[in-house]
Amino acid sequence: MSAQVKSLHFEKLTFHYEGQEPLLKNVDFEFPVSKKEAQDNATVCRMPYKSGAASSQVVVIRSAQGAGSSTVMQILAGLLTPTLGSYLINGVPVENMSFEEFLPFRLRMGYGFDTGGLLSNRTLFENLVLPLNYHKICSPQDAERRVLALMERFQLIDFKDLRIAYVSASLRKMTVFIRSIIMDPEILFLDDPNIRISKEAQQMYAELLRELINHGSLHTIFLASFDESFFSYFDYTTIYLEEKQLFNSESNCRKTITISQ
Amino acid sequence: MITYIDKIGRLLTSNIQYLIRVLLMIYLSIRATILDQHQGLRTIFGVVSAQIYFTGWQAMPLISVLALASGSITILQSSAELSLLGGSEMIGNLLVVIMVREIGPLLTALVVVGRSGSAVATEVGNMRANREIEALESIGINPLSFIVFPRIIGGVISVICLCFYFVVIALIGGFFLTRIIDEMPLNFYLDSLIQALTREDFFLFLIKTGFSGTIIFSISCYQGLEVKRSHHEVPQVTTKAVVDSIIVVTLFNMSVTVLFYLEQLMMLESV
Repeated sequence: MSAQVKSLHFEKLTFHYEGQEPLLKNVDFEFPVSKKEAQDNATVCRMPYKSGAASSQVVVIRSAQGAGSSTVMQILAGLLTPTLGSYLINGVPVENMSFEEFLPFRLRMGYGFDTGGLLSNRTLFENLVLPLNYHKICSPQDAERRVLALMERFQLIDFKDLRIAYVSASLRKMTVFIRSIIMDPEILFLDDPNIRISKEAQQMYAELLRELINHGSLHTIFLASFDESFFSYFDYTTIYLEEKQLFNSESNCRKTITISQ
Repeated sequence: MITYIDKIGRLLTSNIQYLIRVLLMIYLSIRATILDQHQGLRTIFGVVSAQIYFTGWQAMPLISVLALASGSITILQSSAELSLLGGSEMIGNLLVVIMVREIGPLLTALVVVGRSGSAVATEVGNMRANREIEALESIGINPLSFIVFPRIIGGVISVICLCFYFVVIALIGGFFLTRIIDEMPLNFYLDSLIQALTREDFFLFLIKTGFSGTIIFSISCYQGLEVKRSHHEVPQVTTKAVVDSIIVVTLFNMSVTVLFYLEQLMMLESV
C-alpha cells in the first residue's frame, strides 16, 4: 500500500460526539486532493527545498458556527473515528487501520490546531524538534538547524527556551503552525488559522506555505474558518457543511486552482 | 428481589468491563512500544527515570517517617507481648510477616496512590483536555507507547524500590529508635530476622509490590485518558483513580495473602 495520499473519501459517514446530535449524517463525499511527487526524508531538513511542480489545491471547509467544520478536519486527519460509515484513504477504510498502519499517511499530514495542541512540559523549541527527532527524519543537528531557522523567521527565537505556559497565545499559535509544517507534509489541515494571530504573522505564514507548495511536498491545504482574512491569501475551493451534509461550492470563488504568487 | 439482582448484575458487568478496558490499555501500550520502531530506548528511559524520580526518590522522606513510626511501634509492641509469653526469639518471624509480607507493600502502595497515582491521573487528564494527546497523534507519536508504557514501568520499579526501602527503614531504623526504651541486643534481633526470612517472603513481596505498581499506574493513566475535552473532568477522574486504586490494591493484597495462607494450610493438612 503506497503511503502517498491520492484520495480522501467519506462513505456513508456519520459522526456524533458522545451524547450529542450528529454533526455529519450519512455523508458521501470525495475531497479534492492534488498530486505531487513526494520528497525523500533527507530533503525535509534542507532549506531551500528542492523544486517541484506547483500544482496545488487549497480547500476551505465552511459551516455555521459549531456545525462541525473542525470535526471534518479532525476526521480527515485521522484524529477522530467515524461513528458509522467509512473514511477511506486511497480506498482503504481508516477505521480498520491500527495506529501503526495509519502512520505512513499520518507522517504525510500536518495539523494546525485551533487551540491547545502543544506539550506543556516542553519548551517551544522542544515542541518543534520532537517530531523530527522522534521519527529520525534527519540528524539531530539538522533538525535543530531547521527548527531554529523557522523560529528565527517567525521571531520566536527569543522565546525558544520557554515552556508554553510562559508565552502569549499568539506565540503558541505560531508554534503550532510551524510544527504543522515541520515535517514538510503533503497535506496540511489548519483549523481556524486566523484566531489569536496578527495580520503580519498570518501573512508570514501564508508566504511560508507558498514556499512549501512551490518547493516542498505540500500539495493540498484544508482550512476551516469563518474569517476570510487568512484564506484570501490563496485561490481556493470551498466545501460547505450544511444540514449535516457536505457540498461542493458552486459559488464564484471556485476556480481551477493555482497558487497566487 | 429482582431489582436487587439486577443491581448486582449491573455492578458486576460494569466492573468486569472496567477491568477489561484497563487490561486492554496495558496490552495496547506494550504492543505499541514493541511495534514503535521510532521510539528508542533513550526516549522510554527518559520518561521512566523521571517517573522513578517523582514516584520513588521524592517519596522517600514521607516513606522514611511512616516506616520509622510503624517499624518502631510494631517492634516495641511485639517485643513487649512476646516477652510476656516467653517467645522473644519469635520476634523476627512476627516482624517479617507483618512488615515484609503485609504492612510494607500495602502502606507503600497507599502512599504511592496518594502522591503519584493522583499526579499521573491529573497530568494525563490535563494533557487530554489541552489536546496534547491529539497533538502527539497528529505528529505520529502513539500516546500509549510515549505516555502510558513508561509511566507504568517507572511506577512498578518505584513501588518495588520504595517498599524495599520502607522495610529496611522500618526493621533497622525502627529497632534503633526503640532502643531508647527497649534493651534488646542487636545481634539477637538481627539473627532472629535473618532466620525468619524465607524465599516465600521475597516472592510475596515482589508479587504484591510489582502488581500494586501496575494497578496504580494503569488505573491512573486509564482514568486520565478518560477525560473527554473539558478541564472540569480532571478532578473527577483523579478522585476516581485514587479511590479505584486504593480499592483494587487493598483487595489484591488481601487476596494474595488469603491464597498464600490457604496453600500453606493445605500443605500442612497433606503432611
